[in-house]
Amino acid sequence: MTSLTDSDLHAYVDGVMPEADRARVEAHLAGHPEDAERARSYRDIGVALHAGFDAVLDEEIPQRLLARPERPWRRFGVAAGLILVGALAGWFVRGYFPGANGVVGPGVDLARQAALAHAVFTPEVRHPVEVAADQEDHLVRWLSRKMGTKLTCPKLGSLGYELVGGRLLSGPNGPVAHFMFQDARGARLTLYVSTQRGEPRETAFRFSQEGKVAVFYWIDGRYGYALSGEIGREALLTVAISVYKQLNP
Amino acid sequence: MVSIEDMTYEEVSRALDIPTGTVMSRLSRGRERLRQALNGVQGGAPLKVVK
Repeated sequence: MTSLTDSDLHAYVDGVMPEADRARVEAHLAGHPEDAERARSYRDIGVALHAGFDAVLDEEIPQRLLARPERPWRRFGVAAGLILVGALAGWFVRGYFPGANGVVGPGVDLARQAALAHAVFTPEVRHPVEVAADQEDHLVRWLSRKMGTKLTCPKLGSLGYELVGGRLLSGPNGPVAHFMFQDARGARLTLYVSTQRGEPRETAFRFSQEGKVAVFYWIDGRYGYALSGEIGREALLTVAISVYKQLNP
Repeated sequence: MVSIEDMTYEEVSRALDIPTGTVMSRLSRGRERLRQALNGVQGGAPLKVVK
């Protein structure tokens, strides 16, 4: 009778076993249904872990987790060397990224805030908005007053999206105007308009995928705009271009 | 690391600076506990380790 250790079973499941051993394990599993069942469960766990956490793999590692506890000197030297190389490389390439002076930070925040607001309000069935589309004039006047500028609510009917309404939110820099649109199938897009800190400036369209929510965002003068939706990048871009044109006739 | 990042035991052993045998025993213990937790097995079926 062949014998099977726990480690054999895991190595078999992980596919890191030499061919000869595989055959041995398979022969054993054929005669031991409870071990075969265990192997199946282990494999299922792998599939479930992939399904649940693959998305996390693409996330940036939070800065606080990168701080390593102090280790032996050997590592310290290597680390110091790498930091020096990184710093030098960073210094040399900095000129190639014109947007790097402060735009990336707030812009990324803008996309994240917008995606968050999108994720919070779009699933709402009874209260998706504070002021509904039948009071559009009032909505736009009200939000304009709060934002301290004359807002325009884009018309997206030609693209299949009708205004649901809007609401006032609080953002990191003050008030935020939030408009919601919906197509015939009930898919929703949101436009997030926030006040930006610092000097007025303009940026090109930027794209960010925040989990399931795709966001196109740009900064125009003192305001940041972000269009979010759980749709494909190309489809969202079409709408974003239309929004931009209507806001900048 | 093995399940999600698809690293080999050797890669894990190098990354964590622990022997491969330790990688394997931790993996086997962890995965078995996860399996029991998911199955709602109470007490845990005894594992026979046949040498």
